Amino acid sequence: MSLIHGIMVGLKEMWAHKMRSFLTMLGVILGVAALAAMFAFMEGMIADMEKFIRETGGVERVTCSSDQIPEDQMPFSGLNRQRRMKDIQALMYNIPEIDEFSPEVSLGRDYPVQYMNKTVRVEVRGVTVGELALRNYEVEKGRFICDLDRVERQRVCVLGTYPADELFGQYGDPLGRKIRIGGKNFRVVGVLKHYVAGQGGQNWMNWKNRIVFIPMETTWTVFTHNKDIPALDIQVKDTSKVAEISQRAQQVLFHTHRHISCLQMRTNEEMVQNFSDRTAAFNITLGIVASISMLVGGIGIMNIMLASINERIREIGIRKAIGARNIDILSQVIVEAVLLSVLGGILGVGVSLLLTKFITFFVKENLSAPIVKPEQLLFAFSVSVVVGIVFGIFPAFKAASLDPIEALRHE
Amino acid sequence: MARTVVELIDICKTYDTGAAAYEALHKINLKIEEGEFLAIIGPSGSGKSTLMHILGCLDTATSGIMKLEGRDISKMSANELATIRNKRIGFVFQTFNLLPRFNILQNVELPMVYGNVSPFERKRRAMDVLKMVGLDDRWNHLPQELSGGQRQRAAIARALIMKPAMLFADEPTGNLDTKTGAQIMQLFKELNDAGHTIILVTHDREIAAQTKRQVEIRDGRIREV
Repeated sequence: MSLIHGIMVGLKEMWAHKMRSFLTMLGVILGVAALAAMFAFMEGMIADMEKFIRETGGVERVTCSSDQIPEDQMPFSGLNRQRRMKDIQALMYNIPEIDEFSPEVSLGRDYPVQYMNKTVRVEVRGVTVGELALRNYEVEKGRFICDLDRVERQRVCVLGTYPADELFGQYGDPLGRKIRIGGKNFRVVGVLKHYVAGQGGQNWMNWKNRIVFIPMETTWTVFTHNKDIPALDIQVKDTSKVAEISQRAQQVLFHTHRHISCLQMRTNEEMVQNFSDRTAAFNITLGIVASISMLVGGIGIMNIMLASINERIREIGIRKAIGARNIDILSQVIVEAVLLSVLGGILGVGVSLLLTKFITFFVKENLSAPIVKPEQLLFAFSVSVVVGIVFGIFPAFKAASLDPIEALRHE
Repeated sequence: MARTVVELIDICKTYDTGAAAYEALHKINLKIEEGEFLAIIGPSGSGKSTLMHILGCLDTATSGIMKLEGRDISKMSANELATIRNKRIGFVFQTFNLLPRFNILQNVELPMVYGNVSPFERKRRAMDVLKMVGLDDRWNHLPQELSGGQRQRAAIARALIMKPAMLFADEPTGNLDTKTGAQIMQLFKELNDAGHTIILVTHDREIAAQTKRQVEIRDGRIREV
């Protein structure tokens, strides 16, 4: 039997029962749409997360943070001291594999920065040039903090785009102007690049723009009046060595801190691992939901094919009488089932595109922009084809096994 | 000497109804030769339909041998029988049995769909046969748009399309008025004159009398009239 004939018969049947066919297809449409939309949102989430990890220094970054001093070391915890430049020197000397250091002294996330009569509250951070590599910043205009600024305790600063726009929006180029940070005059020597991510007026990368950098040593002299380094990040470009080197760094700092374990090295790898675990869990859950809806769609198809066969017993008898073999009847029914599911699949892919647009339009917050990948649409579509074949098999066998004499007698 | 189209040797058909076996056909022997116009007559329940189903390869006998054009088909599989029905046997039914959603041309083409004839060839052959039964100007009508007589002509065209060895007609005039019925019988006679082997199954002796040879079935036994 020719496939064209089968398709023609199937289309005629569908056209003769438009409403019934559409309702049957609806199950597949929704299943495929849910599957494809889910893929798009997951893809968007993964992309955003990857970007976030990259923008915060990627997996090459190791954060050295303070840790709770253990109980048994508490009596002599007073011997402990803050991190200082000596720690960095010890690391530099002992572990040459470390590519960059970035010590940081933050004055807080709400520090007042003033120009003329305008004030913004942003994070003010004392840094070295290592900050650029470790926090993934780039300078748009002017220059960054350099080592000479640190040695000379220069009162210079580099602005993120948020304070730059807020303070100088109406006055023009901020370079060379004096702003007041905590009441002290600082000269603007550079402006950072603007960072954007997300959509619909939401910019979840804005934290990166809400920043003012000053030389670390200047922070000590002008603000903190000590030489502590509360935060230290190191970068190891060879990602295969990150774990080993963070271990060694911890050992070195253990020595410089009189064997008091007050420090902890954290790698971004844990974050990446966490994230991929979570993505996998999401995928499984949503996959199950989508499978159930495809199952429901498939059962709908099976149901309607059984009904359709029941109505056409006589037709099957006629076809058998004039020479249709069992395989001809079998393939005819499967072709009709697949036709229903394929049309449902095509419409479902269309609906998924609308659905992603619709959801993004109404739910802007906390939602990554969906990414529609053609291969995933194709996958969702092929699932519908498989559903048609699988759920068409039972009705097809039923139709093929009809006795021609009985079928011809059927009224 | 004409060739033998079909030969039945000691054909029996028994239905197992649970309590007792019911013998629908008892040792039927029948030989039909090419170009015959044969009527099988008998009241309902006589085994007439069973005989027709076996002759038409829709059913197989419980015992006995059936030869179609010299080949023993009693032990063939369902699929092989389907192919034989497709290529060697044409059916005409009392209720026409045209597919309602297909036009006359598509209905006539249907056996060729299962016989693997190319679409172009199908259309050409179908139009030729429709011309023969006088329906070539109605090829694009649906069955329900035609009169009973026209529908039966279309059904005859469909039965003839594969150039079968024999044409079965099961009460072909049963759903038609006398005048139309006579026209259909006339068409059968013309087809027989053109060389077609025709087997008419009927309970109507008047119709049967118009054929060249009649056999009667009664209680599963056959008898030449």
